[in-house]
Amino acid sequence: MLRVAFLKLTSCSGCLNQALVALLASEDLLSKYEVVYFTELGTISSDNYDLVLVEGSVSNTKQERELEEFRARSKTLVALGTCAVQGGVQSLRIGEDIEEVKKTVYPFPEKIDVYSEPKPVSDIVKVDFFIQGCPVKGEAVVNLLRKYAIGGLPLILPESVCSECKRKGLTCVMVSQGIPCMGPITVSGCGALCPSFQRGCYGCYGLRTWDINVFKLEKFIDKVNKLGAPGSMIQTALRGYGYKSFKYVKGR
Amino acid sequence: MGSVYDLDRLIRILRENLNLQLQGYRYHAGRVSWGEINGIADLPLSVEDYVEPGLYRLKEGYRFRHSSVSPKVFLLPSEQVFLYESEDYARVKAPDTSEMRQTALFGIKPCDRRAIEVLDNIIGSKNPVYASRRKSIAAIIVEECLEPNNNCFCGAVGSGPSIEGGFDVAYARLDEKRVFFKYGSELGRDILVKLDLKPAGEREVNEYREKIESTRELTSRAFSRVMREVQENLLSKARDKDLWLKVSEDCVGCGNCNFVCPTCFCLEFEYSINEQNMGVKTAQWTGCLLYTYGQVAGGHFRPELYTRYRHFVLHKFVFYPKQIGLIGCVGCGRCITWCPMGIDLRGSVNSVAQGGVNAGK
Ligand code: SF4
Ligand code: SF4
Ligand code: SF4
Ligand code: SF4
Ligand code: SF4
Repeated sequence: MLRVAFLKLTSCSGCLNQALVALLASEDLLSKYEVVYFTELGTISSDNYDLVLVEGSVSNTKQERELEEFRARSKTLVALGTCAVQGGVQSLRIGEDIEEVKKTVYPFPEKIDVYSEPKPVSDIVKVDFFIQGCPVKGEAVVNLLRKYAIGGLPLILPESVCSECKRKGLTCVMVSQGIPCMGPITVSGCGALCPSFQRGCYGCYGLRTWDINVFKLEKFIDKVNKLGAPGSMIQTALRGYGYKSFKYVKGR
Repeated sequence: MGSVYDLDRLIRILRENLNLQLQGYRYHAGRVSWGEINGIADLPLSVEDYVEPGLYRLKEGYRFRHSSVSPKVFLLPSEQVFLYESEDYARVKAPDTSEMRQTALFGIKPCDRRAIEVLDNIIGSKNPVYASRRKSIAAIIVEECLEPNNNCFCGAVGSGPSIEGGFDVAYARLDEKRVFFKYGSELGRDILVKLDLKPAGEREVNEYREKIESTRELTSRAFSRVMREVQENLLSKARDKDLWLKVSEDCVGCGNCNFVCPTCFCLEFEYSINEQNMGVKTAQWTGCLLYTYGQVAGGHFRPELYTRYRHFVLHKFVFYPKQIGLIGCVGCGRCITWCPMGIDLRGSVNSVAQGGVNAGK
């Protein structure tokens, strides 16, 4: 049996729930994996792990130590979801006064120990593999677990959401209806969920940082703004779903 | 000479007398996709595409030219399962491709027909899925174009707007009602005999010819030089990095151009494992504008986006001719229409072919 740990940092639990449900629904995997740690179930096991799936971004030094500890005790560490990979929605607070943010959200802000810029997992430890998504798709986790069980890892195919739109035969909502859509600059994996419901993508899988630099980003923002996207839409989405990219945009 | 109602009779002859399934541009719920045509109600007879670079609107009218799909959707599906294999490679089974129903392509455009010729030459029998689907095509019915859309440039690459060969029946809509028919094969002749139309008069023949010629004229203006010079200049400027960076500056590498292009044929393989622990090898559409295109084990030979855009342009105009003796671009303009950034291939080609970044824009 392979020993798998589910570690949660700062996040909403959506990815871990997707992963857990996907695992429990796949009989073939249940005979191969043993869940030995799951943050939310409180099971503490200080053993070694074959595989650690990490959800969430890093918010304070305590989490940094925790992450380092899990890294040291695992053969393979996987960052799960946009928070773990790029920072995620917590990044919305970047650039704001952190004390103000705490006050706005929590009744006892003094109890909240976080630094102002959430960090992706890869800022702290070596990441062997990552799956993007907000939340990740269960199928992607199943694919990972099946391949890992025979000693491999999936291939990462970082394409655009448009690729999935076109393969599914959807008609582009941006070109045919003028609906602002972030699909062209967003990582694939969701199966073009929003465009299949006649909505524009808002980029929850994260920015395609492979091709999109600040220059391309500005070109794209100009284009979408011309379609009448609410002025703050792209900025907000990028801050929320593109931590790394926000570093580019911030200086504008 | 006939009317749109004769199209319905034509459909019936193909379906009932020849026992074919019909595949083509299908109008349904406000959009034109690719699918099975069962009767005249499935045809996009009362809609018209209005296009600009990066813009598409379907309006009322009677001159439908394009949507984002093409016959490629049928011949080279976006997902193709190639192989199932067990962990020890003992049980390997390829999906059955022999069971294709005999098919007629209905209402494809002259540029689409050329695109199939391009795919035939590039893929042919190399891909079993393509080969079996191609073999299933028993009749080709083409709609000729008497008015192009804004992004059509078939005249400039010689793929339209009329068709001279490689079809069975062709028709052209002189106006909303009147339809001009011609045949291109023995089968086509038999079909038209069965349709029993009245012969076109001299006035109608002239009207048809005039409209074809005006469409040819309108679709021939895309390039500022003759094709041979365009091709020579493209090749000689292939290493001018600054020029290609400039030409591709708006491109974000989303790949829409590849996917909608009727001659783009690239596939990538994805391996997955199913519940029975069988390895499943699936091919899916990819394209040179996507980052993964140049990714290989251990590295990447086209990480910079401009090199992939350059490859797209050079492949269509310079490399396909070397590969198969045909220009790879059939001038359909789909890549221009469906590029969310509104990048115009004609402008890119002209910029490079004239050697000045601002020339031709
Ligand atoms: S709808 Fe959005 S994701 Fe789909 S092709 Fe258009 S721009 Fe791309
Ligand atoms: S279309 Fe965009 S916003 Fe919608 S689920 Fe996919 S990545 Fe997220
Ligand atoms: S559709 Fe346009 S932006 Fe997208 S890859 Fe093609 S040329 Fe670039
Ligand atoms: S390159 Fe563009 S215009 Fe040429 S065939 Fe492809 S989609 Fe049509
Ligand atoms: S490119 Fe030419 S043949 Fe194709 S639809 Fe346009 S006018 Fe017709």
